[in-house]
Amino acid sequence: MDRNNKLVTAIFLIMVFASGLNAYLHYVKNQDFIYFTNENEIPDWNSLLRSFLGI
Amino acid sequence: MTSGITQLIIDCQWFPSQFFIFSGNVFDPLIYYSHLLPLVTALILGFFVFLHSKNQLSGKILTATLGFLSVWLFSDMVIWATEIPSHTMFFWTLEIIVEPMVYAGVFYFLYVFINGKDLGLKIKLLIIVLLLPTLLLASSKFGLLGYNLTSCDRDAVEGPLAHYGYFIEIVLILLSLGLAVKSFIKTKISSERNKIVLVTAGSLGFLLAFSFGNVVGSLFSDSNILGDYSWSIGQYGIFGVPIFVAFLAYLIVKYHSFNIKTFGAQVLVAALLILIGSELFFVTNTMNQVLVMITLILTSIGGFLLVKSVAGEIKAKEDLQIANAGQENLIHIMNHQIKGYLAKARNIFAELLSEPDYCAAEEAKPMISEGLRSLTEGVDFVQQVLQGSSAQSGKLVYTTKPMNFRSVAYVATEEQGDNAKAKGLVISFKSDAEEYKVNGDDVQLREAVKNLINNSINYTEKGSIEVGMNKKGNKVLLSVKDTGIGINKEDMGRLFQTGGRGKDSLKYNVNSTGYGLAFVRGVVEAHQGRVWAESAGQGLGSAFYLELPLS
Repeated sequence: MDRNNKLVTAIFLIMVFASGLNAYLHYVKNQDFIYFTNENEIPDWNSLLRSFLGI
Repeated sequence: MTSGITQLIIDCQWFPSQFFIFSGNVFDPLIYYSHLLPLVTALILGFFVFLHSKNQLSGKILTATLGFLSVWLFSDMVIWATEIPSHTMFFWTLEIIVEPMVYAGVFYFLYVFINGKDLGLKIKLLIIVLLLPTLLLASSKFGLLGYNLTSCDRDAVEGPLAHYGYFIEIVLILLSLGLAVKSFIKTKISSERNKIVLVTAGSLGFLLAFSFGNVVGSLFSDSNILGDYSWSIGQYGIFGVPIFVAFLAYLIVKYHSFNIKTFGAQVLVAALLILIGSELFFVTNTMNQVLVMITLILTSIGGFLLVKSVAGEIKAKEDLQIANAGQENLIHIMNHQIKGYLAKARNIFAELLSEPDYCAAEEAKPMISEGLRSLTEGVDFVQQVLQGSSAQSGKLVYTTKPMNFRSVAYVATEEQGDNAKAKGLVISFKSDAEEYKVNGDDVQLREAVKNLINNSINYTEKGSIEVGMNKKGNKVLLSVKDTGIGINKEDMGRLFQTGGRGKDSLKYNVNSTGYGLAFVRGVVEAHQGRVWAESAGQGLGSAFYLELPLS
């Protein structure tokens, strides 16, 4: 494994860890998310995606 | 959190979870078996693969992949069990992050395992670019839109990133498959091809088992076919995960020389200790806690002794193998030397007989003839031991080219004609066709056929030897049938092993080396063929069969 290749892998793994940490800070620490209390508020991504893909 | 939301959560009457993963909220206790078992297996195997793989990249990648898998399995259990919305959001996001990593890890492992080198920088960057949106957007509205309180299902609402994850997973499965097919076509060595097939089957089996829960759960949960049971059925797929993970770990062991027995014993003991130790979390009664502790201590002692004895046994076996190899080498050198001296003496005797001027005394000629015959037998004897040993250990060099196996077998039969006649035996050759084309070394194959016929002559007192050839599918089958002493069941098992002569064989053939048939087997197997013997029993004759693939 050459040095650049190794460096890329290391940076990527740090990013994975940072992404997990960010999720922790975001959701557990700061409770930064919304609650849907009404069905109509929930965007239906599945049907949006299906209509986008035409399936 | 507003008071309205707090009230909605209270109204749902969720059970509080213990240790994140244990609660009555879990829809089916099956998930503890389908998740905890793979989790424990993945952690143990990951730890031992890492420990044993030292500087092997494939081992490190498998360990990392198993790490991601463990995070996923744990997160999934938390999602099923927890009553805390922020935990659902966090662990769900972790799943979105690590799920494509598992697929990428398997692809990376497959590449390194097959090619024996790291991924090139360009392909690695391409895969990272594919994975980057998942990492960067995981905690945004693209990952999870929010927490669904419209029912009491404890669900997060997924954004488009989850679908993007499925897309990457499909791409990575296709890349893995393409890589395996390309490498399979490129290599012509059958052992390499076997390796590719095994590791691809293990990797894709692992991914399919891993995807099974999500695919069946997602596809059928809204349908009338399986309904609410779809998630339960989906769990069965995850049961396959430890099997394929163990299979991949085994492949690393098989192809990278660390010992499966020590590894297996360590894994077994560690799994037992974790399983017994985990009981301490559930047992509340003091008496039971003491009993679990005693079992744990006894298992630790037993496990330590087991691993130690297995390691000792393996060391003894390895020492024996080294000693055997040394002894074999010594015999080889001695035989070579003896063959040299015998051959030299034989040539001198032959010269003495052929040149009348060298030997004036007529009465000395019978003695010289006897000396020549004895030396020729000695050279043949040593030659057979050397050839048999080389063929068995794979040291024999083959010059392979297209050839007519019928001609080879015919010449070998002709060459053994005088030997048969000298014993008063009738030898015949019969072939269904004039030509059987095979790719092989004609010299070594002729020697192999000669050995088979010679063997039959040596163990036949009266009657005949029939050499036959016919086509069987895309193979050619040569048979050497005799009316000799036959083979009993006990001898049959060791017939084609080095030094594996029959119990009474020296009674009939004083020159038996025990290497003739081992040589035949070595040569035939090197040509991707097989050789075997059949006999109705002692005194009822024998039939030897040699099968080779036609070109």
